[in-house]
Amino acid sequence: MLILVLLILILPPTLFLIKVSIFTTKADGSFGDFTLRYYQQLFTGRFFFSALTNTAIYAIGSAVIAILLGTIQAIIVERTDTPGRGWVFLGAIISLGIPHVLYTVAWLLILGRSGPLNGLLLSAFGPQSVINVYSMWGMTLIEGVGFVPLTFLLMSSVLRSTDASFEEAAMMSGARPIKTFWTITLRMGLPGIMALLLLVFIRAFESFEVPALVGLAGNINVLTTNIYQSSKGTGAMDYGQSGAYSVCLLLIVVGLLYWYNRLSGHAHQYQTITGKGYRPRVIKLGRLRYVTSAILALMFMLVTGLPLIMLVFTSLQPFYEGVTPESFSRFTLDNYRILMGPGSFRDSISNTLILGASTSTFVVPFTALCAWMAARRKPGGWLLDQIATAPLVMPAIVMSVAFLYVFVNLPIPLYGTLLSVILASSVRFMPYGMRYAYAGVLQIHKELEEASMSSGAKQGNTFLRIVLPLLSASMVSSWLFIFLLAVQAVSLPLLLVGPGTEIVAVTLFDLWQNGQVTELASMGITWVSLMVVVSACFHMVTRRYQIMAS
Amino acid sequence: MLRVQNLVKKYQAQVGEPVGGVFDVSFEVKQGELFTLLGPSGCGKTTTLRSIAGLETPDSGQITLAGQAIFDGAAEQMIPMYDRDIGMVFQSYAIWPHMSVFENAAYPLRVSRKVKYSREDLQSRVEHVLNMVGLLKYKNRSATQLSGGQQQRLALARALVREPKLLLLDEPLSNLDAQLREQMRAELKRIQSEWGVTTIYVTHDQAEAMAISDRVAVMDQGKLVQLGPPDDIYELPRSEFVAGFIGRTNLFKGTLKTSAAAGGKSIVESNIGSIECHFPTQSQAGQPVSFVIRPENVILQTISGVQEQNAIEGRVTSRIYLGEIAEFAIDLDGGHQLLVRAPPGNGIKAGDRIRAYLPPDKTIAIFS
Amino acid sequence: MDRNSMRSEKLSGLGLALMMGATMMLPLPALSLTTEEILNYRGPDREQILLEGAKKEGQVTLYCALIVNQALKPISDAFAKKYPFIKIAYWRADSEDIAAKLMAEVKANNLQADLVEGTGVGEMVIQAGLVQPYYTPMIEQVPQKYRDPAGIWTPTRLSYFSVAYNTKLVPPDDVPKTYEDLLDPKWKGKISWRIGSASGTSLFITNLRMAWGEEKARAYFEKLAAQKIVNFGSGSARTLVDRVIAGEYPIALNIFAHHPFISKAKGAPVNSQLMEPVATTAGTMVVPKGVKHPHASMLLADFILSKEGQTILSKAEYFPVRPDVEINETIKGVVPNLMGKTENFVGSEQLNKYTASSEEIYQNLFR
Repeated sequence: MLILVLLILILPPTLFLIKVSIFTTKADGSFGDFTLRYYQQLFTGRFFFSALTNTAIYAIGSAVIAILLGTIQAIIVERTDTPGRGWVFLGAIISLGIPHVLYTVAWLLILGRSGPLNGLLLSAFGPQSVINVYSMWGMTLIEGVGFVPLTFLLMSSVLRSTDASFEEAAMMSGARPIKTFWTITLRMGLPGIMALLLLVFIRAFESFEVPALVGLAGNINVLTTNIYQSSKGTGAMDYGQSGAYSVCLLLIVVGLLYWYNRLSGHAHQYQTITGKGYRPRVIKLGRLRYVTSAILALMFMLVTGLPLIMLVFTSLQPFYEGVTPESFSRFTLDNYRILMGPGSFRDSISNTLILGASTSTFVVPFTALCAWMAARRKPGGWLLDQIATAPLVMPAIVMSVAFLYVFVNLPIPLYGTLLSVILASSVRFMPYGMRYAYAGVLQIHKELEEASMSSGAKQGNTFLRIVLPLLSASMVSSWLFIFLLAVQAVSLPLLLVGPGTEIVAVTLFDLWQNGQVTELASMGITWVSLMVVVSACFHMVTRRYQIMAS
Repeated sequence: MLRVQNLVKKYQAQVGEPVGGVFDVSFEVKQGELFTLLGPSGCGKTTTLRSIAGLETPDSGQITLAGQAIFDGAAEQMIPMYDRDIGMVFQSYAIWPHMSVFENAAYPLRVSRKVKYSREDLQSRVEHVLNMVGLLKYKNRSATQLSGGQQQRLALARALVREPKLLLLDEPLSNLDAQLREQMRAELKRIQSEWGVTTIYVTHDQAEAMAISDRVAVMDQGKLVQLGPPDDIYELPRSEFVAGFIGRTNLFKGTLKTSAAAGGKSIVESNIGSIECHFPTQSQAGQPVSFVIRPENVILQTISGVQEQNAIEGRVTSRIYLGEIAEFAIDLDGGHQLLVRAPPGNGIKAGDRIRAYLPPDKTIAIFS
Repeated sequence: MDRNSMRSEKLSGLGLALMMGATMMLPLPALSLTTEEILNYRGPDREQILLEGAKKEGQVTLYCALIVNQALKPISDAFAKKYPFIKIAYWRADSEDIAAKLMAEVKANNLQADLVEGTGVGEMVIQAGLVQPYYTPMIEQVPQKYRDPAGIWTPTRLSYFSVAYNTKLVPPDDVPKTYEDLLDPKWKGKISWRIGSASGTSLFITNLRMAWGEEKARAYFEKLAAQKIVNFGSGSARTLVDRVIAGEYPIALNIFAHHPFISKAKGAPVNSQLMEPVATTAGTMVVPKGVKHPHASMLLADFILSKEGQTILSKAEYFPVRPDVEINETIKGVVPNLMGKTENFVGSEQLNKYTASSEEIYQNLFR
């Protein structure tokens, strides 16, 4: 039943992906002869090995940065009494609200040759100290930092739901807080951490924008940009190599997931939310509070603050020439005026909100159910996990084309509707929902469900009445997270929207293609503000709901 | 060994949560005794225990362990929980799933900072304590493979391996099924007395408390209402609450006719007649008073012509046979109910008219 | 398109079929034209036939690569004003994405588009055999060299490509004025160009191969490769110009010549340098096979090429293809003919002929 739904959604693009990689594509888009040459090209291309090495370094480096920073933040926020820690969530929301490409551009503006950092270094230490952001470290840093909101949100939901008694037992055994954290909390949060690692690592392998914007200019190729360079530019739609790469990634993901499932096969070990749970213990830091507060502030600046300031600054310029004294005298609101005027931006807002909300509302409960079945080893659960995670490896543009073909050929008039975009979007973000939900389900004690079932409730009822409410905390943050991602997606809906179903991201893409960076910046700031407003409303709504629920 | 003085801990009231808290509780626990904090949910027993453990910070008061102050509200002194020489067994056992049985028990020794244990020393201590709780042969198993009762024993072993001065047990048996509970109850008592460790036990189960404790402290709504050995608590409850909480009882109200001396007897004009009661404390005439008598202390007699003091007539409305005892519900003349427990072979059955005799020294007066 | 318009579209299609059936049954001497005939009609009553047919069709859909706010929307609004009985819907995307969508629609027999416009999209769909020839009388106003002899596409706007440079980093005396000037060693590592787009590296290469012949061009490219040009990978030509303004790269090749001018007008330190010959392309308009609203489609095609339509484009800082329409003042300085440079018009055929091999040259020499 569930597997069927999943298969219907995910099988078509997957099949398309595989087909694209093993058949040539003719000029009119149809499939030609069977060929393995894409795979051959992939592996024997001149740049393959260097690209592979680069990709590995890039993936590991950014994963480490993201997880390290995210975990530190999560620990400080969830487990200490550091003042101001609630603001970190706001920071995460803002970060997620900035379209990823724009986020990268903001960093490039800050760290670029003519950016303020180099300006400072130049005047302070001379031309030798100038840094080149178009390098491996630049790429890794920007990608890593861009992922921190994701890792932070996931880690904080893991930490939040750990039963305090495990830690209290350790401390009563004489272990100090840090030792307790290291030997008990982290070890018990391992499934969540590993899930995160999986997500971030695979994502980095599939990542394109940052390597394209940053790496290429420094002549650093990763596998995705390598493919891009070899297959684009001919003008025709040739996704052969792209497809071949994705198929390889898919196989790797299947393998990794299998290994992950084996490891968390002892999942019940990590159950911590029992019927008598205590809320996790908050460590009182005393004077150390101010240090951790400073750390949080620093991280906020790094992850959110600096790019945001840069964008604001740029959005007020008629053109961008670096941060010079003169630029301050050039401040203008023109960019905002143009944006806010009558036009496609305003018209597409409601469609966008519907898209985001529908995607989240479908993905979150659906993946909760799938994750529950997978984590509890119900029949077919592992299959659900694999299928739901598969979309992670597909490049958005290939998915877009795949769905285009699916919808355009359907006898029902789904083509060009907002619903088709919602469906495609749901497929794309299912892996994220899945990982979030899986980690959440692991934390729930089987006992609670067993109690329900021994009281006569059937599985479905148990899920609805017991599991879902317990998952609600992680589901809420998952909802918001997916919403923010879904409304940003450009390449996916690009081919699926038609006249009348415009969404903001695609409309703004227009600007991206033809507009100056200053207009883009104003678009980014406006967008972020919109996202913050939406998130605030969401927060208020859920707060009210939660009070009623208890 | 342990002294708790004027402990106060208040909780902010939150929507929907029971407002617990402790309000000026004081008691002492002697070396080697098994001391129980008994009371219903929300009475403050767990808060008290956690305050002793150091998991909660009281608002005021003092806690002294073996002469050393581990908490002093006035002096703002608080020794953190990981520096207190206390072992604790949690209600959920909190056995760490990612470690083996051996490692769970060994953890306190491994993290010990004041004393460093050599490998052999650690090994022998852990094995000794595991042997004590009967888990030695599982020592290399993953902790998740243990049953509930075994996990509980492991939690105990872990708490004792450091040979702490004080052992705290937070409702350790409530997660076990009835049969196992009785078994473990005996085990706990045995280990505790063999080991000789001063123990504080928290429970809401009065039968449990009666069975194993050297002394019981009954708590209600954050206050300590009665403290004493189990017999005292049972036989001489000092309040309606204690009387009602411990075992089953019959409760009646009335007014004291003449003053009573402490330990003496006097007549109470009550709603079931003039009843002579035992007064543990001195009392003034005219005071409103309640009295209780345990069902098993009421004597059922056939009705004879002689009207005796403390004998009331009534009719048996039901007889429940419980094996070693039978329970009779009596409707007294005058309209009140009496619960009586008596050996089943007394021939009395439902519908019979009988006389219930309340022996004065078992009829205890209390002032609620 | 939402379900309602699709339904009404189906209904109107049905209506059309019914009508045609009806007319065939009645012994009327009326002419029932095939779609092909409608699209290529040159009779004196063309306008009237188109109007009547369009009234019955009632709608038209345009897939287009023009900027929405400045160009596409004004054109759409003006068209709607002129023909209030035609509901016009448009969809904006990049040329490649338009091509992909069109291909999918045609193959699935679920065609939504009636007219398609963009730079490069024409070439792709022509090769795929998805379009059909058509005639608009407006083409007579367009210079011969910009027309398609096969009559499959019509040009809508011109694009000129030039070199952009940062005026602060490149002093006026050092500005490279010819392609050979770019080989000066002092520019090593300081030039960038856009890869991954048909109008990027491959156009640059194609332009020179056409103008100079294969041998001379090849020799030049080999020398150019030694300059270690920076490959700018993501973003549009506009973004590259922004980089030049920001001082990241002093020089950028093959950008849209008018972009620096627009920024210059705001005070940015950038300028455009035309080099002989100037690569020139045109946006093209095509009609898909199986078009559902041919009458309305032709009216729209006429409109885009009319003086009114072209004026709107000119205002939006595009270069009109009709010589009788005034070029926007800001960007006038970029038109080669006005600046004494020769245009090298790279039309559809040339693009199809040269692009693949130009790409290869890039792959071999410049990566």
